[in-house]
Amino acid sequence: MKKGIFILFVILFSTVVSAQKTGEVQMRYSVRGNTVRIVFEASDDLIKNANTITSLSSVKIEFPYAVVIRKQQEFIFETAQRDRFFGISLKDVADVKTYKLYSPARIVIDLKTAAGAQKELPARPAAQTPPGVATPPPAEVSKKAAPAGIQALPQPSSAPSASSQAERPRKIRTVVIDPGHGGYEDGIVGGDMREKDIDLAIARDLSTALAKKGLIVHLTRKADQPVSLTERIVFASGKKPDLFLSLHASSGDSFAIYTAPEDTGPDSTVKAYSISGRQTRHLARSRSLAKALAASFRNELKTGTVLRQLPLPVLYSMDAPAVLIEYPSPATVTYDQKMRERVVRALVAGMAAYDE
Amino acid sequence: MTSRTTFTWAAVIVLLLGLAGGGGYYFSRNFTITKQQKEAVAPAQQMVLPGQEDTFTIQLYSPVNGRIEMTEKAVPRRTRASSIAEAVIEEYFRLPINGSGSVIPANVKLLGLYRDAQQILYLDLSDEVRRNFHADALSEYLLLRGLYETVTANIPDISDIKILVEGKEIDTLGGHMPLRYPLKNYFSYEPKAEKAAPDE
Repeated sequence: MKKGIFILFVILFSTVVSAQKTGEVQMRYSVRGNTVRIVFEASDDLIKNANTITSLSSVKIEFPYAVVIRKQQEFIFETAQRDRFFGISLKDVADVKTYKLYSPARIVIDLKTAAGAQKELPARPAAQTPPGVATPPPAEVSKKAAPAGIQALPQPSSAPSASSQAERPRKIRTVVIDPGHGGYEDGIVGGDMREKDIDLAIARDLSTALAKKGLIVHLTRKADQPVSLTERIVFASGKKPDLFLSLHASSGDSFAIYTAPEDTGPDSTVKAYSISGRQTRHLARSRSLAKALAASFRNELKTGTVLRQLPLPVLYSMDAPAVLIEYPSPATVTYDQKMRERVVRALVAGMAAYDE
Repeated sequence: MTSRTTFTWAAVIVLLLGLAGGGGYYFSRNFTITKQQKEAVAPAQQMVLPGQEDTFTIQLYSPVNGRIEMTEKAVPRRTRASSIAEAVIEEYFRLPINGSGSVIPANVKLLGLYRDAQQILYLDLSDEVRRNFHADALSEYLLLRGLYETVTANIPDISDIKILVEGKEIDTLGGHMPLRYPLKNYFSYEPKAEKAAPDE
């Protein structure tokens, strides 16, 4: 009898203990070419009820109850864990794919690094250039003589000119210009003007102006073609620019310049889940560039500028000073050749002021 | 009753009490009804007086003039969670468009609503959401944020929201904000704005 009661007590004790569940998760990773595969292996119920949220800069896994993660000692990304939450901060990642597989139960996360994705960018046939827009310049524009009246910007070491070399040390050598929208994506439409055409026309004019200063300039699109946000980021990151400018139109009648927001949050878990990316260490310079451009718009175009901070992926993923510039809406301003020249002049002057 | 029998009965009672306690603890950990769920259930149980319209109030977070504004609207009562979600999303896209500075695209239809095992709510919207949206980065951010706030304020137990267009995952709505991933991560920041100082 006493033995039976003892067994019953053991069952009772184990029932209470089992109520306080803690799971164990085995985490391992492997690198093959440009793909990093991370695998979380655990019991069926733990994997089945886990919630995975991914972005290009973080992976967050919420398990149904507290877990202990057993991982390889030298993991390539920063991780953070608290109770049932696990976060990974990603760097230089162009694509994230997540799978849940069973027998054995596991979550598989495939990360494609930026360099690998760039090689695999599909070649898109360029759509017909819209009427009234000049033929696109080559992606890398060779140096030309600087025109009078515009302050010279430094030149790249790969294509130096004797006169500019003597002027001052260079900070800006390579610039990536990102004309917004394209293809089926018109952007803001004002009368018969479409934002995508104006973005591209200003980008080409600016590219030509900067090339004349000896800078190496790349455009994320060179014709009226659709380019995804990821493709823009991967292309720009691959060029390792000293400056990234994304060109768009505003819905209002003044200029707006966007920079990425600051990475805030003292809690390491929160930080791991946040969307901060490679831009963090360039934020101060991005803000300086935004202010220099705003001052230049005021001087050259006599118009106000709103400075904004928004988590836009083309900004927070960029490993260089980066701004997204919105010019006044095409519904309020006509962007003929003359107006575009004024905008380009203001942009070049703003960049020169930032570079001093 | 012998002392042995008494001891046995006492042991059985202790055992039953222990099982009840352990079970209660387990179920309270895993199957607790949240406060939000209780609130969502409560309106359906309210009594409707004769002659009174049977409605419930939803909160709409609309992007207007460069910011999010919250308004409340009474809509006919629905009891099923999916019907409530449909009503909320349809009301959001029915918000005034012209003359109020709103950037909500016109004629958007809700094609489907799905919730996966991870409690991510998938909103399948008609292509008008993309075709009729022509605005800047801030407007796009506010449109998506307004939708996110509206859905999460009215539908309990949603871990995140993902937008599909015509049943497909799309890269972006208007060329600024990504839609390849659920929305929550993009709204951990408050947007900031300042006028460039005159002497800068």
